[in-house]
Amino acid sequence: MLDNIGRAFPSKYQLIFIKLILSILIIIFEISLSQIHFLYQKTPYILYTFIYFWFLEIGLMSYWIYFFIGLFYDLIFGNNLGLSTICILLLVPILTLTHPYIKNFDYTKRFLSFTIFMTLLLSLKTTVFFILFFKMPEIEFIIFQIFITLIFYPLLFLFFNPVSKLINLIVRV
Amino acid sequence: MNQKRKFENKKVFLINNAGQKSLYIGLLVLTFLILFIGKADLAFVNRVSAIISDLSAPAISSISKQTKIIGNSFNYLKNTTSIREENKNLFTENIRLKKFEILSKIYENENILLRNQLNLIPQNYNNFITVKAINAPGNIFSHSLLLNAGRKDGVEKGNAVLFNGVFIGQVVRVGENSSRVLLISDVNSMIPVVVSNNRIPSILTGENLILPSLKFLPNNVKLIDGSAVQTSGHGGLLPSGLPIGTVVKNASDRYFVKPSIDLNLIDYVQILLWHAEGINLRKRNSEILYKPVSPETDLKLFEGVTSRGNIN
Repeated sequence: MLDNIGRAFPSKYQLIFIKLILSILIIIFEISLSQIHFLYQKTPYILYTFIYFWFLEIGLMSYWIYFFIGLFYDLIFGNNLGLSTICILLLVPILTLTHPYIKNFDYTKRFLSFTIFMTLLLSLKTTVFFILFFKMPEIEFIIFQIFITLIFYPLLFLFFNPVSKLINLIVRV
Repeated sequence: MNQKRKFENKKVFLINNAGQKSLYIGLLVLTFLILFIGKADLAFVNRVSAIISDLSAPAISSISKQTKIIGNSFNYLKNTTSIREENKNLFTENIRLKKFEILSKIYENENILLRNQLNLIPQNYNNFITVKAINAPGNIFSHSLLLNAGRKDGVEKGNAVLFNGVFIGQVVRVGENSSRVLLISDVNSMIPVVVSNNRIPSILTGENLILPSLKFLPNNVKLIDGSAVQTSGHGGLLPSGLPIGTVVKNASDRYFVKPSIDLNLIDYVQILLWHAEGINLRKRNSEILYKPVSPETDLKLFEGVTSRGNIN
């Protein structure tokens, strides 16, 4: 079956399709985590971890994919439309430039670069939020969210590993 | 194979690529536009949002059920470990509540007596539906809930949402099967309220912090900590007298409102299907609501005494 799919669609479109579907599922899972009282308003950023994982393990994607993922994220979370999109879009060029270096990093350095990525992303998001409303959100919650995302980082990478294998399979086909 | 993929990535997605560069700039501009259009609350954006909420609501609902089970089991474990301390707290709270029970019975009788003396027409909100909140706010940038009831169930934009009888927010977007509620703590929320002790009017403004604040209070007004805050009904979109919480003053003399219920415990909520007298958003007809001004030149739209005492 994979062979037939491979013939019908070039691997590039298959990758895009997989990324979009997985991202939608991850966003839905991320929002559903808010039902746990402990994670109320502070769910771990699984989508951002997934974007980072994809960037590290599979490679970079076209900008419009990040644009649609960001918009969907904002719509589902009820954020101001474009708030996450603009932050992701602004960070993607930085990821593109650092890609060749981070690719060769060991685990600790990769974890550190992820910490920087998350801090930058959330700082950007807070700044855009401030520009829009002239109000600062609860900073402790944001720090807690970054912290909890970092705790989940190894576990999430473990769960995302089969995705990398699937992509390898598709590229081989 | 890896080499091939690297090559593909470099070839197609490098920022130096002219096509990608213009696409990137275009997307950035588009996102900025969306950011400001989204703030303008356009009907088109609301419709798209409602459609996406409708489509994703069943999936969110089914996954939320599973995560709720996990969350409940965590709570169960937590409660089991602290059961002894909890029991002690409940015992002291019970003694305190018994005292309040006697007081509330006295006030209730007094209230009935006064109502009878005033011939007050009771304000009952019988028309409400109870629905499930299929998600809670996921991050600090948005304080909103998704409900699994929409236009089909009679929900309308602007309906008040209560949790255990306490006002928690307003319906802002309605789809066919789902609706979005803006909580009182959200930065976009502004609710006309009164502080019950002396009926001081104010606007309850969300700040994306844990507690919403009281704004536009009359000058030099001093509020007492613990005063009850309820909806004022000004503007006619919300019914008056819905309880919200109590006044809390912070160190910098700013007044906040502590909701009477814990917002992170929200599961089933009540939507009041209420309309102000004469306003029915369902039968919205611009010709009925907004009649053009009569072309007669000598027609006086407003009549009254000016500041100088002349009748105008």
